[in-house]
Amino acid sequence: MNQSDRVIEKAIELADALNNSKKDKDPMEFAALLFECNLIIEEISNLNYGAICSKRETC
Amino acid sequence: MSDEEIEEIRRKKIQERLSELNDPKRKAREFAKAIVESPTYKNFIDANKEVQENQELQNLLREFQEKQLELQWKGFDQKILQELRDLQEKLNTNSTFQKFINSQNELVALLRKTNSIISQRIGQEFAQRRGGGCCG
Repeated sequence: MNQSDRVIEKAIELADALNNSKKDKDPMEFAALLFECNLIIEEISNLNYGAICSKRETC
Repeated sequence: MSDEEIEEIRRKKIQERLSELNDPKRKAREFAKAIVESPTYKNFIDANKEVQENQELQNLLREFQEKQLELQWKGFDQKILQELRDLQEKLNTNSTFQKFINSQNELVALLRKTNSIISQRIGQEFAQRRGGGCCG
C-alpha cells in the first residue's frame, strides 16, 4: 500500500468512527465533534483543511 | 468475586478499549499524521520551500501582485494588462513555480477526496470552515 492509499484508509476509519459516534450524539454535539476533528487535522498538518475542502467558496 | 463478575469486568474493559480505539478524535489524529507522512504532502512542502528560497521567483511574484493591484486601482488599461500577461507567461514557464502549482493541485485533490469520503459516510459536510466566512 502506498502512502496516499494510507491517507484514504485513515479517512475511511475516521468516517466510520464519526458515523458510529453520530448515533449517540445530538446534532449540536456532533457538529462540535466535527469542528474539533477539523481543528486536530489543521494543528497536525498545518493545513487549513476546512477552507481547502469546503464547498462554500464565498459567503 | 464470582466468575461471572470477573467475566463482566473483562467484557467492560474490552468494550472500553474498543471505544478508545474507535474514538473519532484519535482517528482524526491518525488521519492527520497519514497526511503529513504522505509523499503528496512532502512534495508540496518541498516545492513551497523552493519557491520561498528562489529570490528571482519571489521578485516575479511580487511584481505580478503589484501589477494586479495597479490594474485594480486604475481600471482597464491595455498596457498594464499586457504587462500582466507577460508576467503570467514568465510564471507559467518557471519550472519551480510550476512544480509548486502541480504539487499544490495534487494535495488539494487528495484532501478533497478524503472530505468527500467522510462527508458521504456521515451524511453531511465534514470540512468545517472557521470564522464564519468573509463576512466575519
